[in-house]
Amino acid sequence: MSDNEIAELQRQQAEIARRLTETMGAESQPNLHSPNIDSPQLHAHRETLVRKRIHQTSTLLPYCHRALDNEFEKYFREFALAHHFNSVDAIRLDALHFAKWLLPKARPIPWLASCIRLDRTRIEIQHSTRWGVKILRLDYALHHWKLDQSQPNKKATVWIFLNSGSKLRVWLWP
Amino acid sequence: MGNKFSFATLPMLGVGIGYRQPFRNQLFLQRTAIDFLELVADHFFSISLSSQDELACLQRNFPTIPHGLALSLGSADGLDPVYTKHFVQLLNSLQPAWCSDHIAFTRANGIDIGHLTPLPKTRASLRVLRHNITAFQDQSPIPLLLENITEPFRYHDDQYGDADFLCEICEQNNVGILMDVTNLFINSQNYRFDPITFLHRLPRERLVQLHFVGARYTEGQWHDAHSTPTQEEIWQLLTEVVKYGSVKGIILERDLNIPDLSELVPELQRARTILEEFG
Repeated sequence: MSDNEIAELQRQQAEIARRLTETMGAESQPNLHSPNIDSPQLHAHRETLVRKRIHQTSTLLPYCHRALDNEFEKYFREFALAHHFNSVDAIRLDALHFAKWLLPKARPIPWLASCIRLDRTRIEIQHSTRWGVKILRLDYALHHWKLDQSQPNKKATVWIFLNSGSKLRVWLWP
Repeated sequence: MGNKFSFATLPMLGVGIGYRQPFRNQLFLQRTAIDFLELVADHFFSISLSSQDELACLQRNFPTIPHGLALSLGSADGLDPVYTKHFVQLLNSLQPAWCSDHIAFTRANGIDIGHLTPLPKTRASLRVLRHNITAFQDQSPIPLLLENITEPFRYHDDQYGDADFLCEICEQNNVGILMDVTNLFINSQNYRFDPITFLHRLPRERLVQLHFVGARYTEGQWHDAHSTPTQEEIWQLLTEVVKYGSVKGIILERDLNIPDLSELVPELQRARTILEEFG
């Protein structure tokens, strides 16, 4: 694949990918002109992409979504200006990176910061219940955890025991 | 996979659903309504024990077909070796009757777009597809189906019509077609072409599997929201595709606004009736 037609396709795809991802902002109106594609259609596709990411992330960050309400989309669009999908496990990583990005902004608002922590923990726990050992990535000192699957066909409950200062905190999920 | 592979020899799998986590608890309660499952391959790339357990449980109880989202067979940069390796490992583990991905690109110049993006219908795209499909098939003998996507935009420099492009892909590669009936309906409405004329141009023996779900109409355009019950127009088109093709499997593909699985059973039953009557 080295002739001019292939090289041109490669250039075109790179340009489309850049334009669809680099300027995902609510306020920004980037120049999406491409000689081979109508700009409004490309713009609509870009909008579909960011809406898809917002929906997926809000599903994974329900506490943040509830706490931020309409502001959630605004914050995510700001985040999306500089953060893209990663090929494998992209949806979960997108949400996790957004939560990490959001946390410093939320520090002056304690209740929001606690929502983010709750969501980040939830994502990590979701991940751990599906993928095993990554629960160790929790931002808390993990004492131990157990999975209650005593009732077949019922949703499993995860018990998480965290060292919080001198106290042992117990979280149940879900 | 040699050039002599005949898609007519693939087994009849029947009617099933695209497996999603919310269905897990009800899957066995509706066992008789589901002949097979289509798994999003990307969700099972992990080698952790819990993921393997889930996969093993599904595999023990259902025929399973892996469906990739990001092979990016249309990418002029070539295949992503990491993604391809994961996909091939999954195929080796499942040994499915076939596997599938899309006629699209999702990655270019190191950027992951995160969504299926259409290709220009050009000679260059055909060459890229051929190169990538061959590279994939060199690593796995499992029969490969390619799915038509919705086209949110089109290119001005297309050199082929819709049906001609798909026919060329089939002609140049040893692949079957996963016809997403909803996507066909959406494209035919948004770009104003006759889906039946399009359908009758395709090699009928390559039409192996179907996807269907409801479409959504907003702001003068149809969209594949995967979130609503199937509209009557899509049922009619699905019936025509079953009558024309050599369909071995039909998958209801619901991703959003997911109801109780029991609410989807009537749609599965209707699809089964169509497949039994016209397949």
